[in-house]
Amino acid sequence: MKKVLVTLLIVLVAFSAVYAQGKGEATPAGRRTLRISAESWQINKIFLEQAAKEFEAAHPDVDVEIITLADQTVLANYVIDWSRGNTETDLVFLDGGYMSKTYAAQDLIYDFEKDLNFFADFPKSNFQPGVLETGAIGGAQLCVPAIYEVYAVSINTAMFKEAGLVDAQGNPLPIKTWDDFYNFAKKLTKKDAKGTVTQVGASIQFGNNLAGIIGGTVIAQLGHIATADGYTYDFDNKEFRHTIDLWKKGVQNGYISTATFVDNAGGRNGFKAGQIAMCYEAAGRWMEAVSTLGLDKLSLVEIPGGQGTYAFGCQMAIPKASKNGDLAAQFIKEAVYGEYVQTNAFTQYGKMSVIKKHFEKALETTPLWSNIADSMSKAVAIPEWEEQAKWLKGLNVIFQEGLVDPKTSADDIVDQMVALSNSLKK
Amino acid sequence: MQYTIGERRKIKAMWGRLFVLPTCIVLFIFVVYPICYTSYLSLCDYNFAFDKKPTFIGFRNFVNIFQDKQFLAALSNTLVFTVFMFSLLIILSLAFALLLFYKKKRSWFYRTSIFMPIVVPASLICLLFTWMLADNFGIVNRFLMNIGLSRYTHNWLTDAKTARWWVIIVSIWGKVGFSTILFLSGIQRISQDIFEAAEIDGAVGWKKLFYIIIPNLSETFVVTGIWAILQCLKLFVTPNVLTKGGPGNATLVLYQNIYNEAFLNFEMGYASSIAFILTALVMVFALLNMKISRREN
Amino acid sequence: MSRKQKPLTVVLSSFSLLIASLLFVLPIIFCIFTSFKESIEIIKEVTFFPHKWSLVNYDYVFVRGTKYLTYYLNTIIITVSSVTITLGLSALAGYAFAKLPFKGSNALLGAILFVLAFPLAAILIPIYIMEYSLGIINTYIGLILPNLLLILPFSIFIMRGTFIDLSNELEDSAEIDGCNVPQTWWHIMLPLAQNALVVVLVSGFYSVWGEYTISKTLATKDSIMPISVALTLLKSEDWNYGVLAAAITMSIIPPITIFAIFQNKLVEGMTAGAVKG
Repeated sequence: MKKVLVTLLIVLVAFSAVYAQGKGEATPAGRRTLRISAESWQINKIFLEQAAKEFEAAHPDVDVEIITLADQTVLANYVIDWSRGNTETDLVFLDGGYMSKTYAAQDLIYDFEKDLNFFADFPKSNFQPGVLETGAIGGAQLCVPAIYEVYAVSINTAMFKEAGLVDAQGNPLPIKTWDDFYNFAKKLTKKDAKGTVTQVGASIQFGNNLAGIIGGTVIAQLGHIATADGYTYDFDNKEFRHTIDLWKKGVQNGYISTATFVDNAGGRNGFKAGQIAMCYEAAGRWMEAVSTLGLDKLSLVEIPGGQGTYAFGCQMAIPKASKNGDLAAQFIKEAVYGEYVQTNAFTQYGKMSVIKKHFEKALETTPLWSNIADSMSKAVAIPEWEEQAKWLKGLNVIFQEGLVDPKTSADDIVDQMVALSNSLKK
Repeated sequence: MQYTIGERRKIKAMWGRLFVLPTCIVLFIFVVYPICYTSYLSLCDYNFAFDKKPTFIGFRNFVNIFQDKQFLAALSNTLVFTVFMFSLLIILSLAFALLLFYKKKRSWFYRTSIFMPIVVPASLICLLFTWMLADNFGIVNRFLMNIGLSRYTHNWLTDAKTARWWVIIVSIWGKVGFSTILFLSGIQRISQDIFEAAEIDGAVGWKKLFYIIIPNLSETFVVTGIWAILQCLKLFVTPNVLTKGGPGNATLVLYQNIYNEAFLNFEMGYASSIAFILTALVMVFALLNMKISRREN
Repeated sequence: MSRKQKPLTVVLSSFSLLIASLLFVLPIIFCIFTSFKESIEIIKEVTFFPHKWSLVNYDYVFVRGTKYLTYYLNTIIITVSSVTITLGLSALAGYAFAKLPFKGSNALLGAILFVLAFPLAAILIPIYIMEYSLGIINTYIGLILPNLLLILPFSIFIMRGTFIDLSNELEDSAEIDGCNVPQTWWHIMLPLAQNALVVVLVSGFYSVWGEYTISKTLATKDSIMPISVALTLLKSEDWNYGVLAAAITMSIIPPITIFAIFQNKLVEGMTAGAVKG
């Protein structure tokens, strides 16, 4: 028995030493390999595998390798790789621009306009209004978006009808103000005989997306997000405080769900399950509910206020350490911005196309989007701070504790937000 | 060959050094640089993403820590969780081990079922628990509604009080199997002679438990105790995946605090100082545990 | 073993054991059932037993995860290597700390306790930088070494504890018989410490098999990822709970089968050893 263990040990150590060389792939001469890093869901919803095949077919001397990232925190490793001039990837996908500011601060990624001359043969007018700004950092185009999304309110029209919230034609009443939102949520919440909530009126993303939610609320209210310095959110006003007060009352009375406190998907899962009537988050979520609720029960409305909405994109960046920067740029223009990816990402997953002509074409198949067309045209990106992570976490704590605590008023919450905002580096 | 006592001691010492050499090579060569660098960082202000180099600031990190709401919440949560989890782990696994010891028939089924949660990958099963405990479509609430007990439905994970209990319950669920097996093997190793001798002396039932089993388990208590302390103080996966430290900071633990500061905020200096505090805590508790268990012998 | 037990005690203990076992197994059974349900049933109807048995989740797992064998192989290689190396090193070091005193051994023990207590997440980035400079990122050795950091210190304490309790007379009689230190260790001490070795084996296996945080950072290429990390690649933008359940079910089948089969040997191994007296 011991002899077996010892031999096993020696064999394994030897094996590991041999394999310690890693699985090396040498590129044969004359061929170039384009390496793309993305998370699993991005590969799926942005159809990267099909895009890669198309690209390889069009360029027979190029191999495309797709590297799957386990999750976002692995992107931090790239800072280490790239600052030493090495890279295992030529094109990286950053959800919502995560880490892009860090890369920019250490000068690790190319400026699409100045370094790569990206827009020479692909003019900015090809893009939807406002999307290129989502990838700009400090005025420089350091990332370009692959797809983009906006925030809106998805609603379950059957529940609206049931609660009598329809007009003469049977269409759901428009939600023009946050007071409307609150009153509707109140009517849409159903409790059973013992007072247990069986249907919740609304859900708001009180988790990781809170900065975007607040941004969207401010933009819809004022038409812009930042004060004169370009970074501070412009929320210190009476109307916003009133909105927060409504949210607080909603949470305390059970009209607004707290499921999103710990689970980002809590709201949309509840919506898909037919438990929640209104869902304030990324607009594409209504498409995920088609299979469970049916297209006839779904609708989309703008964020109350109507002055615009929050836009964010899945950004793409090219590291300066990569020697295939030109190839990556080509891939973006031909494959990612090609018809297949841009149209299918939109029609199948609600990830909106950034290229104007594909966007308009896809709109024909899913007309529900035209409900928010006005706010989409006024979409604004929220400023990305240096201490963004602390801002997000701080907001989470303020809201998750403040909304349920009877001793904290809406004014307290907003004051805390202002204090937090002033204390962070932008 | 007959050696003198002095020579014997020297030979033993030499062999001693030789025997620990491979361990030292593996552990220290790999860990000495990172820990030294981290110690240096704990005295610096260093944001991995935005600072080019660490700036030395002495003990200011440690001062700031105790004014940081998040750290204080993490510290109190960790200690509270440890107290409850540790006691429950030890008591439950001892109870299970005793039950399994006295139950000879079908023990295969019971042993496998108590041990099963150990092999389930913690990060994935906690995701499933998140869904099971969801407010509206979680099976726990649905079940309560279906059997007419709908007034007991609760937003289990988004209410600070119940969220904490669920973190403890799910953690224990996933860990008690191991300590049960440790205790079971400890009990089974107590020789039959001791049992029979005690029975002749008239010890039965509860007396048997206290005067025979527990004293003879002192070594098992040391091992299980250290293991349990490590599991409790360094708890990470359950609070991170089940509730992400929320709602607010209600289920934030120290290990999570370190992870968040290091990987989300990129404040390496700050994270390192919290790491040292956690290390100190663990060492104190571990040494305490060893002293207490050895003294009981 | 003749033991008179009151019937009430028997019934109570059987009952409580049954309840406990069911509670423990319930979430896992739910998981297995869920893996056979379709999305609509999972989200809308929220059932326990599947109303309609479907393999759509497993289809997804296998179609997208054709590299399953590779992931399993990676996990097996990493776990078996780490545990085997730990068994050897901890048995040696544990004996040294227990029976072979040398100057500085207490300080060394303290240092090992320090490594045991230290949260590895805090030095993950320095470890990444170190492995990067050595070029061992995304290699087996690069994943085995940090896992050793995880399990070796605790294993040393276990072995030391067992060896300490072995009487010194055994050593002395071995010496009289002409054994030198290594021979004593191999032929006499190790067999007596069998139960501790099994504990090290099981605890090491359990810690390394499901290890996620370290592997996620140090294995970025999916050809080297262990299964704990690889399964998270199945996550769409949100988890499809059916797919999640299928992934969990698949990942627990090998360990549970192994445990079920080898259970008796395992418990025997843990309880073997000298009769305490």
